[in-house]
Amino acid sequence: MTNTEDKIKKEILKNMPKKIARLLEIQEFKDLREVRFRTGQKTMLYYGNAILSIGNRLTMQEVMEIFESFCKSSVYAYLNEIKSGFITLRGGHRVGICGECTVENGEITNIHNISGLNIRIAKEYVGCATGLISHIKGKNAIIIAPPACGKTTMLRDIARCFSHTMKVTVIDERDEICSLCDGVPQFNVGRQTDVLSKAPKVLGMTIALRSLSPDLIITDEVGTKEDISAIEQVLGAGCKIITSIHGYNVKTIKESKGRLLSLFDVAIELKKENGRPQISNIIEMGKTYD
Amino acid sequence: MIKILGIILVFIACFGLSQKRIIKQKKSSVEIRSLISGLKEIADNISFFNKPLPEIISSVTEHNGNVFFSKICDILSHDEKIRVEKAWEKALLGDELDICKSAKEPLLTLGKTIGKQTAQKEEENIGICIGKLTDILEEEERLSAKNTKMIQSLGVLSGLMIVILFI
Repeated sequence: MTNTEDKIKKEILKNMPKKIARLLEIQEFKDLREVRFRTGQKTMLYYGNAILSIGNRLTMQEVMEIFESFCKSSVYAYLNEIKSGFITLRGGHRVGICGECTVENGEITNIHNISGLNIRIAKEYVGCATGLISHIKGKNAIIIAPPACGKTTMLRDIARCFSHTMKVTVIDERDEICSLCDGVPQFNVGRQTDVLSKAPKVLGMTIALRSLSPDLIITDEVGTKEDISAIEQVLGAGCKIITSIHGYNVKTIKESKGRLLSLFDVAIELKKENGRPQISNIIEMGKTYD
Repeated sequence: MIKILGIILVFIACFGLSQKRIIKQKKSSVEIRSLISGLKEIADNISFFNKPLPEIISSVTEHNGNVFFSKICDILSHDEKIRVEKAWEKALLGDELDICKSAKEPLLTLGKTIGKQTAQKEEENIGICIGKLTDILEEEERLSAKNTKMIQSLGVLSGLMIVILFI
């Protein structure tokens, strides 16, 4: 087992209930993408090209225990994250939550009776953005890809590459890009990178512009009207921005979020090959500010 | 001479036993008082700082020094995988805590739900537990004030009775 796999195993199994931890301890973590716990089903491990069911069928009580262990027995402390449908673990691994949602005034205020959990393993591929750097240098870029195609991994490596030559600020709303732990990023995001962790994107961008004087701002998964206004503010301040959005390709995003797309110079479409994020298309949007 | 020494020893033993009983009652009140103050601190930490429970209990242990909180802290630090609910129960059912059974009940109930609710609900539950503990404390203090003199007199009287019996 490599050091990376060992580290991932420790991060995920750290607080997990003993029974489940023992079961996962002996499993292969190489190429593991997701671990799913569903009430009434066995624990399922999703590898690059295979799915493995292990252990007994889980009861709702067991799924709840796993959930509580991720919350460090303190659901109230993670309520904001739970409302968004996921918790981020140390190491940047994201735990998606399924269950009964409590809705008040059209907003989810809590998820209870947890019926399923999905751990998405965060992995670092140093160098995966190297081929992209010459295309996005000095430009505003947006990465477009469906879920689990490596948008965050790519952004992380872009931060690392650019931080050799410029000041980079990462607005890490979900603490996934850098995964700060005691103030130290758990991934290599470069020596000139400042991280605003768990800050809402809009607020984070304002703070970054006011106090961190970044040359480049990197943030993950934009899409709301507020995000668009914040990006316009960043561009107005003469700062570059690289971000990502869920989508299949430029065409589909243009149809649904044309205004957002018009703010960027380059769009990058991603696909995943052999578990690694691969660039499938780089599209110049027809304007540069250089 | 030996008889007088024996009488004195019997008196001291009986008086000592009655004092021990009184001290135990007072100790229970002190423990409940410090439990209440620890619980208030937990509630404040939940509402103001939103910290996870293991961190809160560890900081409460530093200020409070109650054996219950330090026991939970010990259990949590020795076993990372144990949930606070289990650690809470273990600490409460151990022998170290010098409180009456009725005071353990609200704490046990609180332990079953702690860490599973929203901050507001957590505060409410802790508030209910504090309320119940305060009632128990008041009752204990009332009983303690009432019984102290009686226990002391009983100690002296039982000593006297043993002396008379043996003479």
